[in-house]
Amino acid sequence: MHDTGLLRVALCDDHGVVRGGLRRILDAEVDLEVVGEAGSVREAVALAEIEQPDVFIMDLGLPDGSGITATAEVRRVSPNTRVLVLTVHDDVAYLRRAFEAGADGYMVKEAADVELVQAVRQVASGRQYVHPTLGAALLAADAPHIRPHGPGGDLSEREVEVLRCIALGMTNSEIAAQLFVSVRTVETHRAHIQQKLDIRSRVDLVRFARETGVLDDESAE
Amino acid sequence: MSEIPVREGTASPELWSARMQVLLRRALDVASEHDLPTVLQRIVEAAAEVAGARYSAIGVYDAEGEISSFVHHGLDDDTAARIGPQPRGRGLLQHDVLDTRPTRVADIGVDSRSCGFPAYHPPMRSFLGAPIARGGRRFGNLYLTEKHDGAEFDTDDEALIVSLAAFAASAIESTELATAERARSDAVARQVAAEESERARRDVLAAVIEAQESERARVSRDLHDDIGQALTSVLLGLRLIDGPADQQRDADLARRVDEMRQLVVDALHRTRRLAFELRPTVLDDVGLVPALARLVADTAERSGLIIDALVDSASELLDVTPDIATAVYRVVQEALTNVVHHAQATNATVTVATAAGLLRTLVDDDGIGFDPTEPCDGHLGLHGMRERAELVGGVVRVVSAPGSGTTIVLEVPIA
Repeated sequence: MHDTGLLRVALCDDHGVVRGGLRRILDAEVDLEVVGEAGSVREAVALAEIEQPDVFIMDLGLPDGSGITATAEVRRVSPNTRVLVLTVHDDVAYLRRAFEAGADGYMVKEAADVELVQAVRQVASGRQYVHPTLGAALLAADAPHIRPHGPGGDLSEREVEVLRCIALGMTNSEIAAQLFVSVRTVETHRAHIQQKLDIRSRVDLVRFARETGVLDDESAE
Repeated sequence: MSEIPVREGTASPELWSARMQVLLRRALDVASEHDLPTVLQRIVEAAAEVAGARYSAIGVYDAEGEISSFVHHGLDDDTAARIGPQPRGRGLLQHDVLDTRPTRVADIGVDSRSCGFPAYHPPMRSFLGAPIARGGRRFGNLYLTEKHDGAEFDTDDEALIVSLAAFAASAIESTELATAERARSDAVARQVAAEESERARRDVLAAVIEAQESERARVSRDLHDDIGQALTSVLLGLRLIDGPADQQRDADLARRVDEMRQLVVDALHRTRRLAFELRPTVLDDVGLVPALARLVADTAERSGLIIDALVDSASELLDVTPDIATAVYRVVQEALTNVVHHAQATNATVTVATAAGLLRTLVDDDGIGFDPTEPCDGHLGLHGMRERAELVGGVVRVVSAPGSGTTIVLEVPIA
């Protein structure tokens, strides 16, 4: 923050009308000052380097590249600048990318009119901001799977491996090759699994594998 | 070319040598032709000249001994037409008359094997017949009548005609071989053409699909960039009408601004949904798995189905080509549409796994299932799925039976 005590904000959006609207909303706040506008990745990086703003409001779809790239570049040339992504994309996949690139906030444009000022202040204060609906989606996607009886319940370790393979759609012979056992053995395991879990359909099997975290076993290996 | 003419005749060596020359020249004429009717015509012409006969003919016989085709020379068309249908193979023209050896007759009219001539038939007295055969195959019989100057056919004539018959057999056989060869090469050409047209069809299909996808991607981006941005600026403008939050507001104005704001937000939602349905930008910008996750979440929300997505860790990190990403995405989209519209299912799962150089994607449901052998491909879009898969070297399999859910399996080879 500069000694004026104002929050210095920069904007990057390739639509001038949107920039103008954002600027007027920000200018209406007495503690915020818009120090510059950019319409491309290149301009944004140059602006960040010169102005070293406190907050950079960043669109994702830019004519010369992605706002994700711009975020990383802005953070590189001005490490104290907080990036708040403002986009039409309400997808957690973009959100993840943006945060990986160094963003601290992510909001969607349909909420820009009511959330913008609050979001700017929040990221400036060192906290992160995520648009509420997306925050919920992110939580749901990242929620740890419920494991009522630990991975695989009453299944043996081998049966859990076979279950994982079945859930992933592998055929008996593929499972046999993967686990270095005979097809016959796989068939036996399969029968035991179905018996123990009382599961018939693939849908239930996949559900069970997912809920009990059978899949996570492998990623942990 | 087979037997050297055995000569018992009385002609001078000069004459014999001249006749041999005629034979050879005529044999070459015959050999230079390639289609059977012309070859047969050349043979009868050659035979008449070689034997010094006024009339000549070839009878080709079918398995019952009937003449199946009769090519003649020496009769003018009018006479032939007046006589009527070709001979059937009676009397001296009976197929087995020449079974053992060539036959010469001085006067057909007094020969015991003759059965007479039909009306309008010109008088014929002298007769020479020889089989056209080769290696156990009988192609037909060669007949000559009316030796010039009222003479009989002699052993010289017979020797020359036997020799010509040997040429004739070769020529007919090589024509048959050529015909068979032509048929084979035609079949090969047709096959090649069919394969080429299949390849061309696929190229066209690939081009059409690619053009369609890129057009959709463009429209999808335009919706985000142009309409989305325009709506956003309206939203921001409304905020400015509304004024800062702490300001005393006209209640009526505030209500109207709120209503408009809601309209604009709805329009933004619809725009985004439309763009997503056309082609999710996340598919191009982030990747297949996040796009599928979004598709699954959206489908579940809209349909009320419970859909689980299961992605193994290898696929999560997989960076497939845009072609494959598009194919997998569209197949899953189509499969989920089927589940929503036809399966009457409660649960569905989408599984993505990578194993042994294959990206395998499964869409399962616990619905009513169907008999995959029944021709209902049309409304289930299976054909379209298969074509999509084919374009990236993949296959689609359908596992289903009435009453036991459906599994669509898509396998695509990945490098």
